[in-house]
Amino acid sequence: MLSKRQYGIIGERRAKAYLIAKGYRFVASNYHTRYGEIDLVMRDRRELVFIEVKTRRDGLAGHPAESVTRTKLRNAVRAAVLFRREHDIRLPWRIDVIAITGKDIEHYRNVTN
Amino acid sequence: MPATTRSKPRRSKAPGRSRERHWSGTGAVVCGVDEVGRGAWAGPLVAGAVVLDTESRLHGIRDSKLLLKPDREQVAAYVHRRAVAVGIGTVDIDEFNRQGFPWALRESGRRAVDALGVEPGHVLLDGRHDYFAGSYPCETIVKGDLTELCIAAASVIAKVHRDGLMREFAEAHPQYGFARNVGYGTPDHQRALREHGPCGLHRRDWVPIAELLQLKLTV
Repeated sequence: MLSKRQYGIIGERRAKAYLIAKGYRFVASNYHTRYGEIDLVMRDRRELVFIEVKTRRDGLAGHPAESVTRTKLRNAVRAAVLFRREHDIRLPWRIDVIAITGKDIEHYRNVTN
Repeated sequence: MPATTRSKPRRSKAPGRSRERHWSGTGAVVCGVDEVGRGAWAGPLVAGAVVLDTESRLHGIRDSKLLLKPDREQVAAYVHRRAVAVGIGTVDIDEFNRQGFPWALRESGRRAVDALGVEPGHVLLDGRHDYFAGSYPCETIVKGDLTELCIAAASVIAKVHRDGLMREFAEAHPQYGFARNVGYGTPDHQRALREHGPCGLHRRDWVPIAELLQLKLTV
């Protein structure tokens, strides 16, 4: 039995592989800011994408995307703004959510617009 | 959603030179090392090593992944022009397949440092793992490609060099689109692999390729 943390890490790796297979380029993972951690930063053509990965072993506790609350998204936006400022990046950007339930993987693009 | 924060806009802080200046202050020649092509499915592993003049003011250098291609090429030329010393280490695909990934990683970094032409007194290495293991004094910096200027500079020259190699390889193996995907597992590359199978530039026993080709058998 894997711990929750281990499940989370495996989920983040799967999300990264999934996005690379879609043609995204990896920039950074587990990037800490004072508004919390950004799971993945990638580039989709000219756009910088900040990704929140949610992993659940099964659907019993509800859909993983349900646990992405308004507050979390607000912090994700703040963290993204901070990342762009810290690295002086002017590329357009968006926030995506990847929800993993067991073997299923779902990708929600641009969840804050 | 309005992208605002309450904090005042601050000067961009990354990539900086704090570790470089720290070691330079001890009298050491400091070089940054980073490798590219780690996650690629085909082509060489390329590492860059860069020694900067701690006195020179440099602008626009950042991690290669944060630069768009035309800018990256300009920044690479700028690094070549302004750096005190630049080294590039390449491990080709045959060596990679024979010796395996950990060896290739280590070897690319060592070759890059050897190619500098000066012996560094201290190496700043991106990542967690010190593969120089005593051959040079070395500090590993997690996310160093984002935070240390000389490592970012190394990432850019390595990336541009590797992309150039992949463009050349694309002529010999036109079916895989190497000029565009530079060996990474992009959708067009996957399609070509399903259709033509791997070529001599592909990593042998590489899990994602194996999975992809397995998929073809089961579907």
